[in-house]
Amino acid sequence: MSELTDAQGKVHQIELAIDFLESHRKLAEANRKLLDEHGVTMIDVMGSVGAGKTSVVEQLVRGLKEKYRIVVLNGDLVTTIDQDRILRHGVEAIQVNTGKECHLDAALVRTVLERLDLGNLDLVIVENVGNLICPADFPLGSHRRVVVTSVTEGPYVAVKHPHVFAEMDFVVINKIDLASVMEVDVSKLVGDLRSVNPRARVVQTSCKDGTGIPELITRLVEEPRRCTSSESLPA
Amino acid sequence: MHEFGITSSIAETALRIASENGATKVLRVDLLIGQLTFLSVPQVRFAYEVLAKGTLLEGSELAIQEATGLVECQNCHHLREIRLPDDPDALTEPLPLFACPECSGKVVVVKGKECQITGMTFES
Repeated sequence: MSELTDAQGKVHQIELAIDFLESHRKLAEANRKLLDEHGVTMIDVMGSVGAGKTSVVEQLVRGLKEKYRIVVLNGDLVTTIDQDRILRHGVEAIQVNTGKECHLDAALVRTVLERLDLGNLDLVIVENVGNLICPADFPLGSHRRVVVTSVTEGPYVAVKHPHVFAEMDFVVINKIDLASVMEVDVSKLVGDLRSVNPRARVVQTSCKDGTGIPELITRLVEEPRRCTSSESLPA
Repeated sequence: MHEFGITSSIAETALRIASENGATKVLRVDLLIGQLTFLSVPQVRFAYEVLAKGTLLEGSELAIQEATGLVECQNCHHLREIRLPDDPDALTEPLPLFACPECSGKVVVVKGKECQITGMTFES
């Protein structure tokens, strides 16, 4: 600490190195460790409002609930609409209301993980708050980061929101049954996704008619864990 | 949108350090923000001013230094600085780099994700 004296009294200058985003990343690492100790896999599902995140999670739950012990965390500002949709499938769901915050963070997820009986669980599916910007900066400690986009978000979504797509292990292009009505060239959209993230798995789905859901389930959950970016948490 | 939450943590930490050091008034808080975070500097300043009111931080200068991004190719280890235009009036942003310009390999962020209090100046 350096010290100067002026007319009013002593003035001190101190050097510090306290990183706030780093502290979020450390919490995410601690979550990952806790999950790994119990052999639990966590999947973080992100995407815009209305992309179909809850519909995708419902499809996952439907396809996986006989084989795995699952808990779903539904993040939203207010309401329990999403939790109610999951509970209808006979799977435990916990609504996490953030009030005003636009994303879930590792600390909030930690408080939920601590209330769960992790020893009797295989899979935690987190549905993040509908937002294509902020969640990318806040890793939760999940093993897979998935973004759900849809053809109704228009043809340019990947290049307009490159940050979130660049961070993901999986990209789901949902509502594929509406592509021709929306006049979206899906191959062009896939090309844009490849340009911002060449290593993400891209799966095209329709939650309405079930297209792509078996492929998504196989690749997301049943394939052996690959070495992905989220295995070492994003810097 | 999350600037308020992050700035709350910054203000709380600055106040804790000030009180631990017996400060009577905080003159300056030095902050380092990486250009590859999603933090908007004007919003951090705005939140800081609101949070500082009625505390030892009121009237203090928030000195923000922006850190340039640095990415490294995982394939050929090429390093490249990501320079965002330093123009406060600019209304457009270029697309950051996601593939190596040398070999098209995957790049990882080495620098540019910082959000650090690097120093404080206060009276006691």
